[in-house]
Parts: sequence; structure tokens; C-alpha cells
Amino acid sequence: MQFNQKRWIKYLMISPLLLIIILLSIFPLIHLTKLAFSDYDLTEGSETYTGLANYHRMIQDKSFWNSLEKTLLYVSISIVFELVIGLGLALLVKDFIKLRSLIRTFVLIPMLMAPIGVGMVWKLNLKPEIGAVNIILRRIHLGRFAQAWIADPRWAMLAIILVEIWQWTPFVFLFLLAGLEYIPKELYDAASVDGASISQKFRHITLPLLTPVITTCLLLRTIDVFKAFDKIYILTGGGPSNITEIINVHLYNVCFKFLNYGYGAFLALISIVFISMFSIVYFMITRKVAK
Amino acid sequence: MRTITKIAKIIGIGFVVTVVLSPLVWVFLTSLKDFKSIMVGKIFFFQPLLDNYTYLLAQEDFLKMLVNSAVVALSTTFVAVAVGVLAAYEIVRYKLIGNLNSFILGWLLLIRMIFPITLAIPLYDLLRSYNLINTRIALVLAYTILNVPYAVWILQTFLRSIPVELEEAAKVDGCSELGAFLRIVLPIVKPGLGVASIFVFIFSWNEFLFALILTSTSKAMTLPVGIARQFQQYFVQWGPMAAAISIFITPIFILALVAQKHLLKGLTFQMLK
Repeated sequence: MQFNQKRWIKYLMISPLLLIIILLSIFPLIHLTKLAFSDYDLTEGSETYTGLANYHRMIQDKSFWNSLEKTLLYVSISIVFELVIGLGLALLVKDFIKLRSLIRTFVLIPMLMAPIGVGMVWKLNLKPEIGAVNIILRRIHLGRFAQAWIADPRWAMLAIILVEIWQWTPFVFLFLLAGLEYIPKELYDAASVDGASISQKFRHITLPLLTPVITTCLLLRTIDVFKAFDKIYILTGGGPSNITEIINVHLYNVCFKFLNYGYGAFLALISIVFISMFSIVYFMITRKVAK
Repeated sequence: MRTITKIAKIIGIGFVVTVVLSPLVWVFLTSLKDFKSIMVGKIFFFQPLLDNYTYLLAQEDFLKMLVNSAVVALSTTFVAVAVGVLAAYEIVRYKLIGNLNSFILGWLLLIRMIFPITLAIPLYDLLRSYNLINTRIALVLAYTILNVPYAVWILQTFLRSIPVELEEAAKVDGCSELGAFLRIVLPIVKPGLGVASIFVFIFSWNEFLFALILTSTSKAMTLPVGIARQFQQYFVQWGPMAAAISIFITPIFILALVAQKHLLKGLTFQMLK
């Protein structure tokens, strides 16, 4: 009796989740695969199987390759700066035990804010005439540096990267600060006794011991920055002239602006395949390292 | 020498706090200015007014979207955390046929890794064929699948820390399987439910992409999409706009201050994942 009850109750407990997974992820992804090999007219709902036509289209599609290039640029620059600034701040604050919790509260705010909220806030702040950045530049007599920012092809990419850094450096900071707290103080004391300089301590104690934490942090940030959409959609919408059109904005535009639904689905499917392969390889490597 | 480095550090920290807070303060100040002060570019010396807020709260559409945001975020939180705690408990305590549990966990991770828009593309088409576009239900469904992976993973770590002996003792005393879960496990795992709820609420309140694709009028549209649409108008009313942004981000501010400890716990979990 006891055994029987145990048997059905576990299936009862998992069934809501299984239902959600099947209906809202497995089923849609099968549908996506179907769409990916067709020419789908969204307004009429008519679907014609086209085989590999979407693949050939992707190979020749300059705007797609442009979006890949912009994505890599956006991700790599953002992450490098987040890491450098975040690490610098963590080292700076490390010894301020009293101030630490106060600083934590403040830096939590940007990362908890909606990316879309961050985008809106900065859209206001970067407005050429009424935005804070230009007004302050003019006030401190640096008016010649005032720009149209997100509307200027030369500055748009930099502007969206700065916003990304503003929002997520705090995460890197908190993450690395937590990592620094795990390094035993005795190591530094011993090094001081041996007459090590600050830079020597950093190179031979902090950096090696922090490397695993930095790696994890980089991985989490990479996954997240690749997913960016909201901020860039509201700030530039991919413009001016596709300069900030990263992959997700491109996918959105292909599907919902230009209504090339089947082709957009194909690009989406390709991205899923790449991400799955990446995670499988990653897990295999970490497993090997763990062994 | 030591005091000099200390002062330098304090200046550095002060600078960081300023950089973090000033863009937000600016938007808040803008929400208190009238049209003229905004256009002239006054920074501090202006007559603060609540006109933008009263104007906004008199807009029927704005109120509808505020309600939509709240209803959708709260419903999602309830569904995702309820489904999540049941599933997480099953995963921690039982075995299913054919390694189904590891498949579920792996699949949830994959859902969290892929670009949300790749799920939005087929979901839009499917929900449309069931006439669910522009309803709150569509949003709750979409947000549930987006948030359930996080809920399961975080609740799983909380549940693993509960010793099995507690439940076994309860069962010896005549408690049923379900009774042990409801009466023993749920009360212990309350902090975990709190952390999961806070995060799911924040994610849902903040979500933009699915709301943009799945809604079209104030019947189901949430606040972020409504505000974003205003930006595309030819003539933007900056004052009310700043007020709307302030209202939109206020709940997150309050949560950051009130639930700081919980939030850090949830984030450190994310770090250790």
C-alpha cells in the first residue's frame, strides 16, 4: 500500500511541470523546426515547404552576417570592460567591511531593474537636447563633446555598450567580491612577511586563486549578454543603419517587422543548435576537469 | 600614506555610487518638472510639481496597463513557484523511470540558455491559432515557461538541505507521503519559496520581449510595452514619460531595499550554479 502510494504521488508531483514543458517548450520547438523549412505567410497563415531554401538565403544574407559581427563586438567589448571595472572595484572595496553592505544595496539597483527600464532611463539621459549627459557636458564647459549619441553612427555602438556596462558591472563586482572573501587572509600576511609588494600579491595570490571564479563569472555574463534585446530595441532599434543590430534584434526585425516568418524561424533554429552544442561541449569539459 | 589611500578609496566609491544613481535621479527629477523646465534644461532649481503624476493616473490606459503588469506578474509568480516546488521536491526525493529527472533538469537549463526570442517566434504562432493573442493568459503561460527553470533549480538547492529523516519520522507517525510534504517540508522551505517568488516576480514585472510580441492593446499590454510605445510617438511628453518610468521601476527599488538579504542569497545561488 505504502509503496503504491509512493509510486503515483511522484508522478502527480512532476506532472504539472511536465505538462508545461511539453506544451510550452517541446511543442513550440517542434513547431519552430517545421516553420524553419518553410515559407510562412503570417497574415494568411499559409505554409509552403521549401526545403533548404532558407539555408541558402542565410548564406547570402549580408544583414544576418552583419548582425553576427555586431553581436560579437557588443558581447566582447562589454564583457572585457565589465570584468576590468568590476575586478577593480571589488579590490577597492574589499577592505571596507562597514561600507560593504551599503555599497551592495546601491549596486543591486541597476541589475534588478528591468533591462527595458534601463533602456528607457538612458534613452532620456542621452537625448541630445534634454538629456542629462549633454546638459551636464555643456554646464561644465565641455559642450563640444556633446553628441547625438544613439542617433549618431559613430557613437551608437559605444553608447549601448556603456549602458550594458552600467547595468551589469555591479553583478561582476558582487560576484568577484564574494570570490575574494574566500581567499584566506593568512596568505596575504605570509606574503607581507616575505616582503611581497602589492602587485606581486595580486599576481601570485589573488589572480591564481580567483581564476575559477572569474571563469564562471565570464561564462554567466557571456550567456546573458548574448541574450540582450530589450535595451537595444528601445535605445536604437538596431539603427542607425544596422550599426547596433545584434542577433536578437535582427531576429525580431526579420520575423515581426519584415514578416519573413519562416526565414526568421530558420535563423532561430540555427542559434538553438549552436547553443546546445556549446553547452554540451562545456559540460563535457567541466566534467573532465572535475574528474 | 595610509590615510591618503583611504581617502582615495572613499572618493572612488563615492564616484561609483554617483555614476550608478545619477541617471535614475535625473529621471525622477524630470518627472517633477513642467514642460518648460525640461526644455530649458534646468537641473536642480525648479518648482517641483506632481502634475505629471496626476496627469498619468488620470489616463485610463495607463491604469489598465499597471493592473495588467501586476496581475500577470503575481499570477506567474504563483504558478511558477507552485509548480516549481512540487517538481523540485519530486526531483530531490524520488526516482522516475529512465532517468526522466535528469532529462527534465537538463531541458530546463537549455530553456534558460536559448535566446528568448527563439521561443517567442513559435509561441506567437501557436497562441494565435488558439486565439490567445492579446490576453493576459498568454503572457502568464509564456512567463511560466521562462521562469519555471529558475524556480525549480533554486528550490531544489533549498530542498536538498532538508534532512530526509524529518519526513521519515513523520511517516512513521502515520503521515502520508503528501501529508509529509505539506505539513513538514513546505513550512521548512518557506525562505526558499520567498527567494523564488521575489525573483520570479521581478523577472515577470520586468519582461518586455514577449509582452511586445503577444499584446497589442491596453486589454493585456503591460507597462513596459506601453511606455516603450510612447517613445515612438512623434511628439513625446517627456514629463509624464519620466513619471511613468519612475512608477515602473519603483517596486524594484522597494524590493532591493526591503529584501536585500534574500536577493543576495538568490544571486549567490546563481553564482554557484
